[in-house]
This record gives sequence, structure tokens and C-alpha cells, in this order.
Amino acid sequence: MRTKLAVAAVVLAVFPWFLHDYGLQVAIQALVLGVFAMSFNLLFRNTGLLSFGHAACFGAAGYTTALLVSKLRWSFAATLPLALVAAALVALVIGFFSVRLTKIYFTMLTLAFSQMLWAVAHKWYGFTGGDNGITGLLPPGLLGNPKGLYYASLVALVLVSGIIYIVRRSPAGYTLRAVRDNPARAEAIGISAFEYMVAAFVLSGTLSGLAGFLHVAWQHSAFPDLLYWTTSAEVIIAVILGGSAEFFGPAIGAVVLVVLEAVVRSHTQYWPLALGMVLLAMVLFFPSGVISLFQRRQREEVPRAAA
Amino acid sequence: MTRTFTRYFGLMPLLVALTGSAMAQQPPIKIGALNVLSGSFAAYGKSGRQGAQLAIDDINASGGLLGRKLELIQVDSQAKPDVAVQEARRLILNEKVNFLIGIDSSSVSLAVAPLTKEYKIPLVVMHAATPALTEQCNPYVFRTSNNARMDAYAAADLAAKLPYKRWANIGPDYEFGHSSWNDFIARLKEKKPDVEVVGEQWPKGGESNYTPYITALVQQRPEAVFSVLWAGDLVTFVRQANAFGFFKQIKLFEDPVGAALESIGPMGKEAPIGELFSTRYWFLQSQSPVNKKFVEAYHKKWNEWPSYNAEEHYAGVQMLAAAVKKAKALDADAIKKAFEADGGLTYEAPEGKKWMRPADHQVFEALVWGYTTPSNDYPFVVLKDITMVPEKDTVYPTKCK
Repeated sequence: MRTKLAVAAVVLAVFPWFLHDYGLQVAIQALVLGVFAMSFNLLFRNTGLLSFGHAACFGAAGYTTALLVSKLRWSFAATLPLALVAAALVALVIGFFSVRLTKIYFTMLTLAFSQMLWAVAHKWYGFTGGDNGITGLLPPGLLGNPKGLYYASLVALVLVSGIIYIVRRSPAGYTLRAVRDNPARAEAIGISAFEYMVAAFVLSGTLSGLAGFLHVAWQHSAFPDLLYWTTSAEVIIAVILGGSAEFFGPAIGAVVLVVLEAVVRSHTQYWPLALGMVLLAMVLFFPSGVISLFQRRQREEVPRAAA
Repeated sequence: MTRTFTRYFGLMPLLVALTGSAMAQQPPIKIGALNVLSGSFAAYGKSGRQGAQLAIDDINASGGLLGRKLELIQVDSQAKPDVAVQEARRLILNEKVNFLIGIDSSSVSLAVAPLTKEYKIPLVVMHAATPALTEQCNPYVFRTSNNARMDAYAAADLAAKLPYKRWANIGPDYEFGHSSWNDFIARLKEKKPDVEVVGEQWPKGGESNYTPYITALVQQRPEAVFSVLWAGDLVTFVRQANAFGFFKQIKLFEDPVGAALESIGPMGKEAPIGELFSTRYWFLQSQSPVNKKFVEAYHKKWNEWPSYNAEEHYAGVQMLAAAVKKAKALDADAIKKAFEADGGLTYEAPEGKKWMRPADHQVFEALVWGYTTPSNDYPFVVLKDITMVPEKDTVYPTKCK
């Protein structure tokens, strides 16, 4: 595992030097979605809560950066702390009201919250520019350079992965999974399921905000679509594609999704159709994600080696 | 001496043949078009693409541009800014297009505009109407179609000559709807101070049930209703308004693209009669040879009549080609100079003269208004008693230099 990670790290570190300009753009997009998907899966994997409102955190951070840069002329990088705070606050409010509910009710409530934020961004012309969005946000320096932005996104992915790894192995991580698997028993031994789940939601939402910040740095603009339910759906699709059970599954799913989209789009206008078919095939034949394709072979190899 | 002479000059025909074939093999000039090809606005993207393709075929048939052929690469913006920016980057970086054109949605136009500076590539917008686009004074953004403010001002100038005093509005609840109504009513009140606003209705874009808005309007008893509903929204509204006898009591004043074939086509026999509809181009209006030739060629190629969006894309590509010819180059700065030089590029389009204001790269042109009338020759209503609002009535000041 360690050697695999080291190889992956080296490959990712030298990757931009072998890419043409467009490939680099696709790679940045994949990394940003990877950060988002990993953050989303922190909540989904450890609590079993399927949030359809992560666009709210993603977009809140994105809009915070866009507004600070366009209205108050802040330097781009300086907006990051406030962007994360905005994402955390949004996550706290949504999490506080939603985690009391389970299953479809939780999902619907998170969706309702994020659509509410979307409506605000979409209608408040004086502040957010409404559907005309906020454009022309060219970040200066490192973030404005495609290679620089690639490395910034890579660092973000490593950071988010590290945090998720620590959380997973921590007592809090075990507690979360105990709550997930048997809430009644967890409550009986004195665990406050509510507090743990809100905390997980806030951490997941905050890290999603990091992805939102990078997305705005990459797109140079913020539009209400950032907060729309389709953004939440995209991250869920990435997680389904990659497999939520595997640690790096969501990030791999994000890469597959983005690269597939780039390839399909350059040949046909029917990307949504292609996506639908791929998803159908995934859910029917590989429910644990593309990563299972490789694992099955591994599992077969192990007994053979033992024999 | 003579031998060297003959040796060198004997090579000349070969040399000429070589360079000649090199000319023929020169790569095409690539034009990347971003239009809506899916969803409820897809009909507009389709007509835009057809218009642009016809212009490119025309230009290629007459020898291309700067000795090179033109090639159209069409992508679907889905009317989503994020998708459009990704696709625009792909067109620029991967397909290596020389120009970006098209764009049907305002938010998409604003999202794509900053890329023109980043990659130094000209963008010619042929449909999106937000005034904000040309207010940004972006050096490489050009718009060869009207913007919503020009349309609204022209509408107000016409409305001021009509007897109606009690006005109301029904418009889609996004920037285009709000800014059009604000511009219209402000200008109308300037020209005619005794105008009274009795109500405003703001259904969301893509609304399927207009009943509450229609009943509210009927109760407010306006004499005329200003509306910028368009595309499928307009069709749905008209069908439901018919059921309420709306048009028996109220005059509908439909700005700026009501008489789009993409709207009155689907309405068919349900279209209201005797209402005032506007459009940026009406294919039966101009009797000029340019227009007759265009309508005929378009109908022959696509077996459809050209809508305003088809004509705007045809004219937009032709105008860009004129700029390229003038610039004798493809780079963004040369194109900018060609568009701006001599008081702004003018072009005789099928609809009439288009003039590009050098300061903000906004084209000004006349607008068509007419009363809807049933037709025996076409499966949709046609315009009669047409008023052309001249382009000088649409000009407004700009802050760009």
C-alpha cells in the first residue's frame, strides 16, 4: 500500500510536465472534484448519511471567495479562511437540523436547504449578481497559473485525504461507525449520536468548501449553478463510480468521471446519454465502483499465492 | 552563367507548384460555436448553427478567407455557464479554434467573456442579450446582435405612440426579465409621463402553470401588457392565456423576440391574432436582394424558414469574415482594429445595415414590430403593418472608450 501511494504521489507530482494545456485543465478539474468527493464521502462512509445538499457548502465557500474578491478587492488566497468558515457555518446549520432525520428525510432536508441557498444566489441581483454570476475573477500568482493551480489542488487532495485518514482511525471515527451501524446501542452506552453526526457533517462540509474555493480559482467565476442540486448529484455520481467503501474510491471516481466527460464531449454532444449508460452499468454490474475491478483480481491472487 | 540561370529558373514552375499545393493544404480557420443544443432552448441553438453553417458554406464556396477554408466546430453549452467555460477551454486549447462565436444565454456569455483576455481569442456573440456584456468594455468581445436594453428602448419608443396608458408586465424572473421591464418602463414614462403601472408578474423561467399570473393580470385590468417571455415559456403562456380570454381584453406587447419562428412555430393556430410582436429579423420583411438570396438559400439547405437567430448567426459570421478580410490576419488585436477602424465596421445583412460601435463593440440595427395575422402560405402567424424602429432610436450612451 505504501509503495503504491509513493508511486501515485510521484506520478501525480510530475504529471503536469507531460500534459498539454487542455489536459492540464482536465487534470485540475479532476483533482478539484476529487477533493469534493473525498470530503463528501467522509460523511457518507462514516455515518451512512446521504447528503444531497453538499453543493450548499461547496457554493458557499465559492461565493464567499468570489464576493470578497469582486466587492472588497481581497487578494484571492486571503479569502480561503473565510471561505472555509462560510462552508462550516452552512454545514453547521444544515447539519444541526438535518441529522436528526434519517434516510430519505435527511436527504430531502439537505436538498431543501441547498436549494434555498441557490434561490438566494439566483435572485439577489444587488449582491450576488443573480443568474449573471460573478465573473472575471482571475487569481494572481500561483493560483492563476494552471500548473500552480494543479499543485495547489494536489496539496489540497493530500491534505483532505490525510484528515480523513486520521478521522477514520481516531476514536471519533470508530464512534461514528458505531452510531451508523447501531444507533440504539450507541446511545445506550452513552454516546451522543447527534453531536458526533453534526461534527462529521461540519467537517465534511468545511472540506467541501476547500473544493469550492479551488473551483472558483479554476473557473474564474461563480454562478448559482455552484449551489444547485446538480452539483450535489455530480459528487454523488463520482462516489458511486469510484466506490465509497474504498479509501481513495471517491477520488478515483472523480478522475474517471471528469476524464470520461472530456473524452465523450470531444466526440459527441450526447454526454448525458453516455453518463446515464455508464451509471446504469456501474450500479448493475459493479455496485462497489470501478475500484472493485482491480480488487477482485487481487483477491483471486491472494489465495493462489498462499496455495 | 546561362546554365545557372536556366537551372534556377527551370525550377520555378516546380517551386510555384509546391507553394501552390502548400496553400491548398493550409489548415482551415477554425470557428468554435457555443450554442444550446439540448433542453428547452435547443431550437434556438439549432437555427443558430444552421445560419452559421450556411455563412461558412457561402464563404468557402467563394474561396474561403485569406486563402484558407473555414471550419465550424459546434458544441453544446447546455445553457450552463460552467459547462460552457469547460467547452470553451476545450475549443481553445484542444481544437485550437481561432474564434469563438454564438452563445444563446446571457450568463454563458458573461462566463465565457473573460477567457478572451486570458487566451487572446476574439468572441463574437450573436444572440445573448444582457447589456452587461458590452458594458464590460472587453477588448476582444464583440456582439453582432441587439442587447436587451436596445430592444427595451425601441419598444418604449413605439409604445409611447400607442394610446395605452394602463400598463402591466409579465416576465421571466431572472435578470433579462427584470432589466428589460425596468428599462422599458423608465423610458416610456420619460416619453409619456401619464403612463400608469398596474401590476407586475414574475413567473419563474420554465414555468408550466401561468394560471395564477393570468388571473392576476386580468383582475388588474391593464390596457396593455409588456412581456419578454420567450421560447417555450411564451408558447405555454399564450396557450393558457387563450383559455382565459386574455387577448379579448388586453393587448399583448411582446418584446423583443416574440415573433421568433422557434415560438410562433410551435404555437401554430393557437397564436393570438392582432397582438404586437417584435423580432430582431423577420424573413418576409426586407425586399432587398441580399435578404431574398439568403432566405432562398437557407430554405433550400435546411428546408425551414430562417428565424431571427438563424439570420443573426449568418450575419454574425459574415461580419466576422469581413473583419478578417480587412485585418488580413487572425490574431485578436488585428481583429479588434478591423472591427473598430473607420468609425466601426458596417455590414449589409439580410435584415439591413449593421453598425458596430467602436467603443463598446455593440452592433446597432433596426428592429421589427408588427401585428400577428393568420397566414394561408405558412403554418404560423405572420407579421403585418410592420413598423421598423430605426437603429438610431436604440442607441444609448456607453462608458467604454
